[in-house]
Amino acid sequence: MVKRILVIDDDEAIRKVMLLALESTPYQVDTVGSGAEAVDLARSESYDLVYLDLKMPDLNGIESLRALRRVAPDVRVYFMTAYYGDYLDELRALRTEGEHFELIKKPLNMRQIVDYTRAIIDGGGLIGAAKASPDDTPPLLGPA
Amino acid sequence: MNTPGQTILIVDDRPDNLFVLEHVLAPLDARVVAVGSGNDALKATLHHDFALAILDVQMPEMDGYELAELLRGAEGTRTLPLIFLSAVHFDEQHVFRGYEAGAVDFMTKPYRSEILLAKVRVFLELDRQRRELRAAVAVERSKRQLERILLALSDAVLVIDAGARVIRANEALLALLGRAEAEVIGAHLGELLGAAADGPPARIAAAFASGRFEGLSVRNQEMLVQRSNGAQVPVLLSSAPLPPEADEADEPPGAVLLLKDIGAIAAARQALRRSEERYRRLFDASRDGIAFIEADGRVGEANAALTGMLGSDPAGACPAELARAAAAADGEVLLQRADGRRFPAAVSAWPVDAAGGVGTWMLVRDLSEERRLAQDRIVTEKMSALGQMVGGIAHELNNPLMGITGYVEYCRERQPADSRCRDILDDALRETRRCKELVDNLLLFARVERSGEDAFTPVDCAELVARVLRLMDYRIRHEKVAVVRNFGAAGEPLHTRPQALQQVLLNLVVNALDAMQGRQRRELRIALDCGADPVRITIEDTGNGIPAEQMTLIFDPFYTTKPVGKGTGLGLSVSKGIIEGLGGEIRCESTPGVGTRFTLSLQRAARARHDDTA
Repeated sequence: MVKRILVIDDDEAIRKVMLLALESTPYQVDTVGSGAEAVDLARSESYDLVYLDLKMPDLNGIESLRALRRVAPDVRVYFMTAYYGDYLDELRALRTEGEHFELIKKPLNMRQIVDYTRAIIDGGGLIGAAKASPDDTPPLLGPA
Repeated sequence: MNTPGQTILIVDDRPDNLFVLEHVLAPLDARVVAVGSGNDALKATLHHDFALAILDVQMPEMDGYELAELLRGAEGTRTLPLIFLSAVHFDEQHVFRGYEAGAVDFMTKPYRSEILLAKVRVFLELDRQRRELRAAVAVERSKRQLERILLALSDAVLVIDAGARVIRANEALLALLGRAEAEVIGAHLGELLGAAADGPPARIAAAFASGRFEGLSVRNQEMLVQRSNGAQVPVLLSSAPLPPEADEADEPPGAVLLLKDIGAIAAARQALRRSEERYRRLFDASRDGIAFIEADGRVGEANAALTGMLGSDPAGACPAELARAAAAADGEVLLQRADGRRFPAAVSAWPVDAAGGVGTWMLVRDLSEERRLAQDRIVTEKMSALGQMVGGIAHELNNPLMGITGYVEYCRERQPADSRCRDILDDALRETRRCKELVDNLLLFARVERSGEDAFTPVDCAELVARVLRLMDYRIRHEKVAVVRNFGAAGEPLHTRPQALQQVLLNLVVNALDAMQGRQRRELRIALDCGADPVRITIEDTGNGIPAEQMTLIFDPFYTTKPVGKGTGLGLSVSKGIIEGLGGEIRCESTPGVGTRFTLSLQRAARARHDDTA
């Protein structure tokens, strides 16, 4: 069965690059520009991995995740962000609520996109860092 | 024995009789007042205190008996002894029964002068005795009066004899000692007052014993007396010798002592002392400066806090600034330290009466720390805002950068290996990577300012300095500043707060660049000695340098040479504070016209704190 990935980012360049980068993989990639669209889509479709931008108009990444969880409680979510300083407290709150998520630092080049995605889906695990304890700053996974 | 000054009144209407009588009385040592009528006799009694009156019985107008009646009725002459002289034989004697016995006698004319004289002598003697008795009674009465006054005094009084034994004591004394009169009377002064051998009571006793009576006069000597219950009472003791009695040489027969209980005064004094101590402690321990300015403008007294603030004790001096500050009453002033540095201070002053006019109490609070904190807060807020902005920009740049990188990589991978297009796309990627590094540095900077978490960690100094230079790279190139790095050999990591140190380094580099603006030669020399402990970092510019007279001021929070709004706003005072907080020190050397060098010395293993993490 084909693995499915959903990219949620308000920036079209990101959505497009993710599509281009993952062309070479066997995964099926959908992209949406907002959390609301993602929730709509996730009602009918099911995904193996969600890449989620943090800073978005209307629903931000964290609000989007909360909304998404109602229709897709188990899907694996990676925040993809350049800068999470504004969301530090909310991310910590998410952690204490027991929410599972990881952070990937933007920007990523094509190779990193492919490598990370393959590692997450096929390796089924986390990349690089161990899971942080709830009160720690979320780990920032980035290019070497 | 006749008492001198005794006066005899003789009354007869016949001058020759008076003459004879005067003659008869002449041998007596007494004055004789002779009058010719009863009326004159009464008048004379107004002016004399007669010892005896000799009255002729047969006189016109007022006879002797009538006169006697009148004399008997008057206060001053009620007891005046009378001798009646009469030519008639006596049946009338009975008339004067009831008259004071012994006070009246009768003689018939012609009389025998020696008999009259003898009678008169008896009367004079009687009068003398009566007068003496009266005087003695008066003396005794006045003595009792004095004694009553003495004993009624509220202060303790006792009278001692020449053997220093108590012969009188008043109620106040008994109350003071808590003793009964029987215990006190007859007691020896020294034992009674329980005083030391060299105390006033012992000295008074010794004065009697040795005959040095001047020792009996004591004024307000403070001593402790022992109460019957063992308690000690502080008293002021005064004593004076009793005056010698007339016929006894000049030895005082005793002395009178007065003991003033000053327990209440002593307690009040102690309370005052305690209160004074309390306020003294407050004065001494106060972190605010306190000074008293005398009416003439001199500082009468200044506490340790003020001395510390000013760098020297202003007492006795007349610092114009303090005086001005005092005159300003309430408000803020710039005060100058002994070393010339100025500091802002809040001053409250209030006038009080002082010797020679109106003095002033001043309360001086050093505002430097407050100002520094406010400054720090402003800087922090500024940096926070800057961080937020930079973070925002970086974020905005990252998305398009990721897009560009992706697009270029996508195309590049689809070009033949040795195609010209692929080479050009490689160039595009390289330039994109440079943009990305710039954004990374900005993000690092932003995160430093925003995370607020900056724990002591081992830091590679060279990397930290390099990062600062990368951040300033654009300006360095743009302003054509030559950077000379002398990083030396890599050493052990430095234990420090990387973000704080980076902030200081950034500040010093920015200052150096500012100093070199418009200068012909622009060279930024950065040297690192990571092998040494303390680790040394020097940042040197070829700017204008700092004039010698300003060198002491540059770390002052209120010193700046830059126009308002210029630079990062991180003053040297903040840098100094940060470096000192890191357990290091910052030094500045400058040669005007040549350049300035800042040297940071940092303990390699500074401040192992509990929040250190491996």
